[in-house]
Amino acid sequence: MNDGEPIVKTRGGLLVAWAFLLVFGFELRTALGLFLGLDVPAVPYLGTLAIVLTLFAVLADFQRTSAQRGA
Amino acid sequence: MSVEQETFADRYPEEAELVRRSFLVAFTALGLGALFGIIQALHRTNVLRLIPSTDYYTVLTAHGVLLVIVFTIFYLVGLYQWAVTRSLDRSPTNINFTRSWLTLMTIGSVITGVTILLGFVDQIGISADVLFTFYAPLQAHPLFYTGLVVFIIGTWLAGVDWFRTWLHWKQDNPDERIPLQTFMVLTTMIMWYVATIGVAIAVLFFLLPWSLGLIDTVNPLLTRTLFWFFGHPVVYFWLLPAYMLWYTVLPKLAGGRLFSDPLARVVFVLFVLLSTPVGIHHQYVDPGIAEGFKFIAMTNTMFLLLPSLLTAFTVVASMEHGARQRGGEGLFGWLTALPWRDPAFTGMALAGLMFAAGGFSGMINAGMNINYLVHNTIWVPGHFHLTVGTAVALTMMAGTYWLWPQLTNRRLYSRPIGLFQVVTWFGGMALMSNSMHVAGLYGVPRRTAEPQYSGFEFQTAFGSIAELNIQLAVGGTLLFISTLLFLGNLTLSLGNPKVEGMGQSLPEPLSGPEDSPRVLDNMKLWAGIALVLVLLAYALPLGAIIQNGGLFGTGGDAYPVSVLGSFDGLDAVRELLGVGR
Repeated sequence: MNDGEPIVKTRGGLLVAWAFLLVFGFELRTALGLFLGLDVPAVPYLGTLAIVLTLFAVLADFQRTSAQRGA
Repeated sequence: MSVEQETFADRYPEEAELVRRSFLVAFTALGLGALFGIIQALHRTNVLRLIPSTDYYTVLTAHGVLLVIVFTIFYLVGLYQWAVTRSLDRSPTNINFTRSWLTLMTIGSVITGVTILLGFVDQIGISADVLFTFYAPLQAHPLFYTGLVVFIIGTWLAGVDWFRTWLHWKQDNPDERIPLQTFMVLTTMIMWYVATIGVAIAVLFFLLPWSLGLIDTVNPLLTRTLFWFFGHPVVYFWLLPAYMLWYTVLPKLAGGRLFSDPLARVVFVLFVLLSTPVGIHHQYVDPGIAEGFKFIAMTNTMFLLLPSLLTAFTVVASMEHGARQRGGEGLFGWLTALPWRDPAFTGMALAGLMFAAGGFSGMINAGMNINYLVHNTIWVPGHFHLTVGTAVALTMMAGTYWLWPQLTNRRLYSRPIGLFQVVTWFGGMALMSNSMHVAGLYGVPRRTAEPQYSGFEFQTAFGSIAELNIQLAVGGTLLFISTLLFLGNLTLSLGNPKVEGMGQSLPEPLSGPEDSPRVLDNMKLWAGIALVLVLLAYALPLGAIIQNGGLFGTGGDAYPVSVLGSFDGLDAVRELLGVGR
């Protein structure tokens, strides 16, 4: 990667996947609370989920960029 | 410039101007409605109170009417004018007639809108804090109903205009099948004509004369039932323009073609038949309507799942076809080949996803027994913010990103901002509607500025009411930001220079109209069956309501349009506040 390039370029698919999985994970917390009575604290749960998903998005972008360079 | 490169604005400049004018009214209403939305969201969650609670119903009425009547229906008439003109490749028979109904609709909206907003100025004494569901005993100023009548007449004339254009086209093309987009417009308008019978009777014979003082009383249950006669099919009036975009534009954006034209026609016919004889499912807790009639309404409502499920199948199949044309492979791998960077595509796809969730919560609303759990709780706004607030509104915004260059010959100011906008709407609505659904299950009421009663704590299964309030406020704020991004993006687009050659065509379906029976195009048949079904569903309940309560009710005062108006039940409140009658 050149020095001038951003670490992560804007990619529609990654952005949508990130938002979708964050929403899905959030809804999962609701399901756990309503169906199983598990009270998962919102802020730590969502914060961790967002960080993990962001890391995955960065890794996916690196992988894709590397694959494109290699081709 | 070749014909393929011609935009709608190049080919039909006058019609494009009218579509832009419809969209201007729609988006003005969207901006105002969103402003009232964020005021409400922050007020009832006690995060930020910009208004006194006595003005809450003015805000709520403005939010509802501006968004679900003005925004959606002006967008609909703009989109449908584009669709009829484009698909028939024909101008309206008389463009001045087209201008007339659009002007009538605008005048009606302004009258009704201003009447609602005057509720903020107590000194004037005019208000209409009757909410979007404007049935008795809530009473508005006569101007509210007058504006509504003018607006609805405008929509009826719009339908006349489109039917007339189609009939003239038919004379020139007697053996041709109705083009799909025009078919969608005509079936939607048949449904609208049937549906508005209820609201026309309610307003013209009861509510307007009552507010003018020509009659002393009305039968509240009758006006409620007539409202819901209209109030449920209006939901599909909002939804069907979104369906048109999903069926005819989304497959192109995905890189493919519509999977099946015949299935699309069947879906629209089913909406003509089934949309109206279901309204009593909004009245499960109303006394005065026999349980059997409610059961029939529930059964009819469940049938309405069929066209929605057919749509889910057809639209997803079309998207998959497009993705595979773009090189997508595998059971789910094709999803990654879709054009997620395109805000028009992504907005519509996310709107469709949210609609599925809204469908599930809608089934709970429609079930007679389980409805009692959520009736009049904030669950219900949670549901319709997924359907009209996302499936419809987000699709309309996303569709605009694609249509705008066709209508203006100008590029969109920023596609990345557009993409961010639709994703923000998705995230904001996920937060807001989730909190509304969950709070509804805990019994938190809707339609109130003060949901937290003093000396009472709602029991939560997990988390807390305070957490749900924050969630609602954050979600509402994201939605407001998203609306500003949308409106800002469009406004800045007007500064872009005009360019040529941005015309886009819509591809033919994989399975075309020739694969379906011609009877599907028989508008008279479907209109006739729809009327018979409405008669079967409503004749007996309406007869019983009139027999039991009288055509004009058994007496009683109107609920005042202002909290401190003339209503005996509020004497105690007046004493408490030290305010005289």
